[in-house]
Amino acid sequence: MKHLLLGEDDPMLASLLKYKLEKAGYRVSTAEDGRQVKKSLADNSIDMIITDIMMPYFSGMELVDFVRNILRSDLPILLISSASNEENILKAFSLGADDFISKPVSPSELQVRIARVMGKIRNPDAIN
Amino acid sequence: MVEQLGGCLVVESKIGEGSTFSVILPYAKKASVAVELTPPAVKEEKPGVTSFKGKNILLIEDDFLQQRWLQHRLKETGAITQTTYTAQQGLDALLDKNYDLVILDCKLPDFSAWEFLSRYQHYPQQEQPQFIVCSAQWTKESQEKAVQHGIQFTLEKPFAGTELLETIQRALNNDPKPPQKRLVDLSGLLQECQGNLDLLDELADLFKQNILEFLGQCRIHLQASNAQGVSFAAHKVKSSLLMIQAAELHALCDQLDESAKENESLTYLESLYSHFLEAYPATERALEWEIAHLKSSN
Repeated sequence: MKHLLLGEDDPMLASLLKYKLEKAGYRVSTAEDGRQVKKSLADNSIDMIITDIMMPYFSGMELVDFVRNILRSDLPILLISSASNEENILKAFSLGADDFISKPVSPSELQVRIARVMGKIRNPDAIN
Repeated sequence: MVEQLGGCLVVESKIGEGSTFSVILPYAKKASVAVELTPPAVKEEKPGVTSFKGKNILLIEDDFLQQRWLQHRLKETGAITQTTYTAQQGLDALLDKNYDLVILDCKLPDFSAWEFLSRYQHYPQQEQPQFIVCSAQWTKESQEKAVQHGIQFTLEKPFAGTELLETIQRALNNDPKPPQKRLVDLSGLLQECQGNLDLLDELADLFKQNILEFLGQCRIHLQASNAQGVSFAAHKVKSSLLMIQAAELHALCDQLDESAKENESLTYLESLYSHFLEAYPATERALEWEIAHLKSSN
């Protein structure tokens, strides 16, 4: 079972996404701010990070930079951002983010994007 | 003797604490069980005033001030009102006569509106009147009870005369939805929850927490003249508002977010914040209503 780290400071959205992703067969750990996301990365079982770009203490952008340039990891990263945040999205891509989804987040769209980033889109059963 | 005077005796007793005996007597002389107030035949209702002419309305309310105000407002509409002070007198009045509408207070001296409605179900009925239940505080539990008893119309005290008349109008027309005023829409979120009402309930609680956090943060940032902080807080809460399709509040937050980014005056940001504060309680009530309705229909 693939292990996702979900960084989202809105508990309502985090709760809904966790429910949907667990139903879809993922193991989901949540973190409510950037510091917690960073701390959770010590867990080597994490297969992908999904995080809001605007997080308290440590932004999604700083996280991408940290993962790619400090940890030197190619762990897939999907950012959640508002559509109006184009400048940040482009910057995040240039830093090495793999994909983004805009708010309001459609859980179904998120699942497709996760599977695509993981390269499993042609065989969704493989996520397990 | 109390009963002969059209009143009632209420006893509240607690083991080890003692008993309280309350005697409630109406001001007016007892006619039947209820006190009838028929508008004078010669007096026409004022032009431009909503007309409920000839409609029989029963007011079951123990607060004399509230009673008098309701009678006054309804008299202007041409309605024929009768008032009772206790729930039992209300039940008796319903046996005596057919009413078009009953305005029922939630907390009455002898028993509650819910007990009233449970007992009324067993009464022989010809034509069922519409009910409007009034309460000073609509909690999640009381809203669920209202739905369970089939109550479609409610009022939260204190309410304005216009709200009273509009609710009566809708009740008499059997039109439960306020016109063009759907403050929340949970259909999309319910679909995302795959019909799981417990999850929806949990999300609604998280939504309320998010709003409280937004209100607190926004106030702190406004006091510190921190427009960037206001923008961040408003931006963050928008996704929660979108999830329950609270269009009006979402538009307000969007405006607050954009205005803060454009460094609009603090007074303007404060006015948007105040507007949100005023508009929010109705949205929270609508959210609770929708959930209570969804639960009752499952």
